Amino acid sequence: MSTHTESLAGKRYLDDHNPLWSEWRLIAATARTHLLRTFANPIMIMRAPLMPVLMLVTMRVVYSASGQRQIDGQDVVGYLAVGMLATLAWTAAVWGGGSALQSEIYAGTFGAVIVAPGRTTSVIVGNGIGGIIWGIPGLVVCLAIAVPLGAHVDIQHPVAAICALLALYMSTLAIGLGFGGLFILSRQANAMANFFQAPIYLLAGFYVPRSVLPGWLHAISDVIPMSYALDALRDTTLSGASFMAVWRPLLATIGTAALFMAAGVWSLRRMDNALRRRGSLDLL
Amino acid sequence: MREQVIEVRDLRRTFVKRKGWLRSGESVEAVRGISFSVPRGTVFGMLGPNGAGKTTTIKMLSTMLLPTSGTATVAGFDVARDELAVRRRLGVLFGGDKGLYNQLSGRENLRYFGRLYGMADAAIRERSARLLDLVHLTDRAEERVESYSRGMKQRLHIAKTLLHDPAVVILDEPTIGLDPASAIDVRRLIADLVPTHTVLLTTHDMHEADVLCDDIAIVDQGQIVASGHPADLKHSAEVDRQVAITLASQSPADRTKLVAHAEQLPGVTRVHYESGTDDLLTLRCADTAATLDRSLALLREIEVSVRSVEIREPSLEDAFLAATGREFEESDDTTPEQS
Amino acid sequence: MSARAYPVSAQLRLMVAAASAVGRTKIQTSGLFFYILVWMTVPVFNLFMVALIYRGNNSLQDYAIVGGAGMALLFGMQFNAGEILDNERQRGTLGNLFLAPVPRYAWLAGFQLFAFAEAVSAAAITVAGGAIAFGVHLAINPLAFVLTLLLFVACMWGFSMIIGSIGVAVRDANQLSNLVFTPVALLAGTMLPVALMPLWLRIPARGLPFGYGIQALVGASTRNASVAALWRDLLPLAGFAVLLPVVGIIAFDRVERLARRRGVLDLV
Repeated sequence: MSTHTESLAGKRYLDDHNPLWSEWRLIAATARTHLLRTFANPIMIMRAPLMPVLMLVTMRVVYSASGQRQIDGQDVVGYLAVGMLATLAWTAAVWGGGSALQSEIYAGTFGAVIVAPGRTTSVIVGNGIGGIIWGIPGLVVCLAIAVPLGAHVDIQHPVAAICALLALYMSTLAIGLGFGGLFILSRQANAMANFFQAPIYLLAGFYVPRSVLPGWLHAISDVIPMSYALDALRDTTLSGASFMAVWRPLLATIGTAALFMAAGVWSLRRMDNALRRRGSLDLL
Repeated sequence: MREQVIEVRDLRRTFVKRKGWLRSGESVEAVRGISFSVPRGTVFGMLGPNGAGKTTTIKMLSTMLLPTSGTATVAGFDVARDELAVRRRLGVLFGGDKGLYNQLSGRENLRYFGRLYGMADAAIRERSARLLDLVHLTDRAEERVESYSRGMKQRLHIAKTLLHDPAVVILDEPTIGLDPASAIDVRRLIADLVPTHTVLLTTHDMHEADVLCDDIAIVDQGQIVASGHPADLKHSAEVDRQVAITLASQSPADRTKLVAHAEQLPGVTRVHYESGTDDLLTLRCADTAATLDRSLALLREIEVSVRSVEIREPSLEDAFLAATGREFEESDDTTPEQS
Repeated sequence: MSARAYPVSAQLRLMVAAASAVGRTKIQTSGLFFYILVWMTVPVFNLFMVALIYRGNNSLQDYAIVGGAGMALLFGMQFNAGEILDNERQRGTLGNLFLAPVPRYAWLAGFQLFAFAEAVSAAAITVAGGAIAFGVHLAINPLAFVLTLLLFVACMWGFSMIIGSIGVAVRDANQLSNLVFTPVALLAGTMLPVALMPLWLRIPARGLPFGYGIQALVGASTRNASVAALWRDLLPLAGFAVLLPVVGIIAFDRVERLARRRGVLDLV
């Protein structure tokens, strides 16, 4: 870098010592901003604990009407509670993370975010983490309701269960990242986020076991990271499975999640270039 | 010679207008070969009507848009290839009602944008306090932005733009939509930015460009039609300066005598006299101040009553007219939809 | 010009114009493809989920398919009420609508007209999707079906006015609709008959119009039930069809006055 550009660097206030640490701080700041913005909405505060409970109760009642006492060998409420957990993770990742840039567009801050040196990926991940944190009260309430409703929890290997839970969150973040660029490139972030929700719930086995899906749908179900994460989480929390029993679905989660992450990073780069070339960064 | 902080060479940007499902739209060249340089520590203005290509140029310089051709560097870095380096050195104000998080307070907004620019906690706190004080928002800093007036939002935008103390500041229509008092405030802030910062601003306000800018480029239909120091641009318009004096009505004989005397005044190139309820004596000259003194002295001497006096200097509007052959009026604000 | 002086023909024209403007805006914003993808197919996937849970039970699957169509109606009309008003606010045109010297129910009715058209389309697609995937046994009594549908839509109109007015007041109609939709869909019996619900759900379900509407729709479309046979559901439904629109209009009026007093009509 030449002398004259160094003198123009304005280095006094930019923290260059550790770029990774800087990105992590951006992620944390974005998560915080996400929480503050969400918390400013009283309806969102009401929704946070209520929605998971309402959905759990709804699906429980439907299964009762069907006469089923078990789903794939596991008790109905426990099965649904894990599915509810996945719903919260999905909501955080896709609506928090994947739609993060759409949310910036609605706020009119998208241009300001893009022209800042902070990475867009960090903004998406930060919003996803903010969404996950926002979902914690709902998660706690849901689990608190599930046990009295009859969920049969059987955790014999807590570390395995924690790994499965982390895998679930990681898989949803990967999907959020994977869809982030695609959403923006298509200029239909909101529409796509809305659209993917119900099919993912169906195909990944959130409330209905994958075993009842027609064979040809398994090909799609098998590339969704959450399909495996859910299997692992249910086995470790409802059937007392150990780490050795779930390493395959965990590995499959990591593998498929990595694909989505790679797609996400690629599409975000392409998004940036494509939009700058098209000139539609602020016309979305 | 001063160091050039922004250098733009033959910059061009073409958009393709979308037309329904087939997308077979026409090409629109919004920027047609713009070249200019901005010396360090100065304010450079891009002046032109809506749709002239100012904002498109700004977007290219701020790395939001890739040029179709041509080159541009900011602080020595190419805007197309080294966008990260450019972004670190640049503060950009797009302004308006959007661009801030309405649900957050002013201070919270600054805190987040500080993080986007990789600033440390202490630096954010220090700069936020200083800038909020500078833009007179300290008392309202903890309130949500949704409760701010337009002027307050614009001032917060300025604070946000300067937060990381960028060497180069780009301001796109910084006073648009503001009431006169707020606009004056903002102009004062901008004037104080130099020479520690280098400023590029766009405006369609002639007065603003005149008072703020060291150099101006007049942009019309995607091209720079004239550029230079404001005074030089006005001079180059070759519009005479005029002194116009409204007098009490004179008899035909007195009129003739008055015109003859006025034509003898040093520096007066032309005299025009209009009769009416009040008469109007117009003197074209190079030096309005001297001509005004002499003409008033003459009128006192021959005991003619003066109703009012008006001095007309060439304006940037004259410069625009001279450069483009038409009045400075709002053109179609067509930001084309791109495919 | 007072509302009474505004000719009916002009109000009808305004209603159609409003419906057209809202519809075109909504479709063009996301494009026709994505519009269909989102607004027409979401109820279909919900139906698939429920129908798969009921696999092996044809009667419940038939119920789920018709109930799914009912859910599509609920979804379309309830979400549109708030969403349209929210979008107007976001665009900054909500104030203009309120300030226009026309009866506001003319343009509101236009919004609802579009919502109804969308909801019916989604319901038809849902039934078609369910029939293709699972097969469905239909035995439709036309008179009972049409009467039930009209009463149900009137209830939905009133309910969506209530939701919409609250949405205007809290400035987030979309999230409010999200919150309300799940319990309403459950209590409406869109996924299972009210009779199969536990008692603690059956009581509130009987306090809302939608359960009656869905039961009657299922009866009229799968059992060829006549109006007389469905009187136990149609009578309360008719009562709600009168009550809810009145409450909706009052609520909207009150909220508008409150919003104007507090100065929040245009606040995004």
